[in-house]
Amino acid sequence: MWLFTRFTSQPGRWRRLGAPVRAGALLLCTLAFLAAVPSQHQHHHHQQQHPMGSGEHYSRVRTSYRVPDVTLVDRTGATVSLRKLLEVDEPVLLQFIFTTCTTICPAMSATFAAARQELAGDRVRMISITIDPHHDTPERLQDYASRYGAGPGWFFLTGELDDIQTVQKAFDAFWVNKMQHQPRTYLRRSSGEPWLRLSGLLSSAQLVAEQEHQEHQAE
Amino acid sequence: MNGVRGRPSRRWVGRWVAGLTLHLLALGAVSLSAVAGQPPADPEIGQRIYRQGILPSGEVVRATIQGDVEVRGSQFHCASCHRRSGFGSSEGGVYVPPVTAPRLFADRLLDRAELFREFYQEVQPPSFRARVRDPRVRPAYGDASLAVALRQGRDPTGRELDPLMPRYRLSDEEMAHLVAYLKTLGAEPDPGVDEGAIHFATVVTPGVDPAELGALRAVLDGYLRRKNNDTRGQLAHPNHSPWHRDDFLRGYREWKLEIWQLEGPSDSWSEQLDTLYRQRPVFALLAGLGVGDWGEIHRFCERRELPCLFPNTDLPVVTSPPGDYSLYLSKGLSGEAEALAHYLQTNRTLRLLQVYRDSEASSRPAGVLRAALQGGATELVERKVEGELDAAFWRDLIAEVKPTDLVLWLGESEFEALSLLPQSSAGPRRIYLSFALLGEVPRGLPPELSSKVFLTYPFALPGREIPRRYRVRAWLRSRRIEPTHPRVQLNAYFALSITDHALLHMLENFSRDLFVESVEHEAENALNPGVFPHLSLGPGQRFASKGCYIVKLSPQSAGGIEAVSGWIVP
Ligand code: HEC
Repeated sequence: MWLFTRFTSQPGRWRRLGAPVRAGALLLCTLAFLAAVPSQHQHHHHQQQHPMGSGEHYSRVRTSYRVPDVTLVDRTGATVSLRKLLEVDEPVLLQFIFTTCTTICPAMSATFAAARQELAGDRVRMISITIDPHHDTPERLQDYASRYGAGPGWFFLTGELDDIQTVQKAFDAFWVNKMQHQPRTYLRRSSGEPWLRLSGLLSSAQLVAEQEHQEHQAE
Repeated sequence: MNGVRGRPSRRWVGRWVAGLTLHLLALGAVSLSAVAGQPPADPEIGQRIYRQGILPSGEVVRATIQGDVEVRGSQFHCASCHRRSGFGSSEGGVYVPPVTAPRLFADRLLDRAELFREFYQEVQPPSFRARVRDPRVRPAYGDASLAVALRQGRDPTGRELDPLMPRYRLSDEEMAHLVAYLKTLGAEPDPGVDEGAIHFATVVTPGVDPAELGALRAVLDGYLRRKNNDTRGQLAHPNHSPWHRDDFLRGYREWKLEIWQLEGPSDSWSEQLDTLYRQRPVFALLAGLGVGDWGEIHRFCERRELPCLFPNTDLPVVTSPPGDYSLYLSKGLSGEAEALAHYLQTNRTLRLLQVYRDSEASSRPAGVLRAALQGGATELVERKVEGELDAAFWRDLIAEVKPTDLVLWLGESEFEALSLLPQSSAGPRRIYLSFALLGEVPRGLPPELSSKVFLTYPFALPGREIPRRYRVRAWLRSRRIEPTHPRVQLNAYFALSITDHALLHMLENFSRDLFVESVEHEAENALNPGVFPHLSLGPGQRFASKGCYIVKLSPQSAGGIEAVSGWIVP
């Protein structure tokens, strides 16, 4: 599996291999992997994280990201500076989504919507950034937002492809194929503080607890 | 069985068998529900629950995900995760299992071929591998255990399902409809595939330039020859591993492709297509060449539930809802008009004169532009014209309307007379033309006119590097295929190579819905041969290229044009 792990962690390199080599490598890895199937007891994950895609398990990483100076477009069609939007003293919750995403984005957005109701008394800013800007026009984002009853404190952003990808890369959330996009939620208590990155799908109670926990953490 | 989808292909035998099967199913349901005093379970009602989340009452289904998040069926219908095909998905490393009838109503054993397919899908994160490692052996579902899974989230072994699988609130009657549908889902392979071969066709409408058709055929023939040679090679040497032969090679088929040449007026095409299809049922239509409206072919494909991939047409069907089976390279002329409207508005165009003809290729983009400019600041004056447009016509028209800008949905010969006009500075500022309608960049215009001409240009700009373009061009050269019609040829190559990738991922599951889903997934995987700057799709997206440039004539630049806008995505 080493080959697989190594190359998947370096998507650029993986791509540069060219399709036939890639297919061959995948095939080799797959065969190696299948050969290992019967010995399924030894689950060892390289990273210290719980399996994702399960409501009970998600991983937490605290890091800092340099927010790029880009101008994006919100669901009303107005331009917004991402830095300005994030320069607030209130907590920010941020996710990457796209409107035609089937499995995980509806779940991520529904969790945002549910948590938002829970957090109604608090001032929090929610931001959903599309990773499919060529399809997700402001109108489509508006339509998507209304499906989740998104109010004024929940921003939906699109923009130029290059700018969006810059943001994705800055948050370590870039995938060559958007369909490989993984569920991540970023929390930040206030401007200038590090981010808490949650990987995996959460329940509303878990998201609220994470948010409140970091809110009440001592300086 | 496909009682719900009822392909007319099997109109005689198929319909009858399907009808009979449905009756038998219904009889079974009646005898069961007679006890409970309920109406018979109807797979068509079940299909609406599955695909749209709409209950017989017209309400949307409700459910809970992730333990405590209340959701509605409009976003959380079964098809959104398990997909229309029922084969599931693996988006974002979240593994959604297949729920086709053969999978649900059979014991799940450790099936290497299935694991292989799931694993092979793509590069997956570690958690996904962990999932696939865990084969979750379980007995076959029955009606009762399925209801438990859907309501309480427990499988027949009592295992708690992932909290992403919604816990649905469904009445007994609704459940019965849904289960009746699940019993039909993917129960039978789709037409167009037999033991040895998978069949495709390429549709060509009347009026296509024979040289263009020849250029297309050369690519199709060359690709199939190489593909089938490779397949024969693989079949002859399946020496890698014991299961390689069984599992992976099960999916190999010889590719066969026919040209379906249509004749006569478009209202007779539907019948011609039916006849051709009856003679040779195909799995999908690939590439294609169309002059005029593609609508008849689109509707044929939707009616037959037949995937139609990336035909070369300026006039695809762009009205919503989009088709389930018709995938296009771009919105064609409608897309150009939308982008132009966007550009005109940001450029504060004051008084625009739009000139178009009765033909679809001219009146359709004119209509799109009209609709898009409505309510905006640009004042639109229009003329639908007939016959020859000579210099006198243009002189009088411009004197009468006094436009600041001109949009002409016309071909090159029709616009030439403009160059005979005396070029006064009082004339229009800018003249917008469609590159697709012109066919090429106009050259040799008098400089005064040339400096006013702008084009909608829905392709990659000349001179821009798109890595795969070189590989595909090298491939053409190595087959001695002259790139006489590069756009048509590269687009055909794209349709074929994406089919190749999609089929590889499907292994032997020859479901047309799964095929469309795989193509949606593959479109973004660096297969773009460079006609368009970006190609991508997603679930339900039907136009792979989504934007357009506005360019001006610039004889000293590559290709004679220079962009005056970014890639406008309207
Ligand atoms: C939000 C995504 C989502 C939606 C919507 C969804 N499912 Fe699921 N479903 C899943 C996931 C994920 C699993 C895998 C759970 C596991 O194995 O732990 C699953 C598992 C199942 C299973 C168990 C399969 C097996 O082999 O044991 C069945 C049956 C099922 N779903 C049917 C349905 C039906 C019917 C609907 C619509 C009424 C539906 N699902 C809607 C995500 C979804």
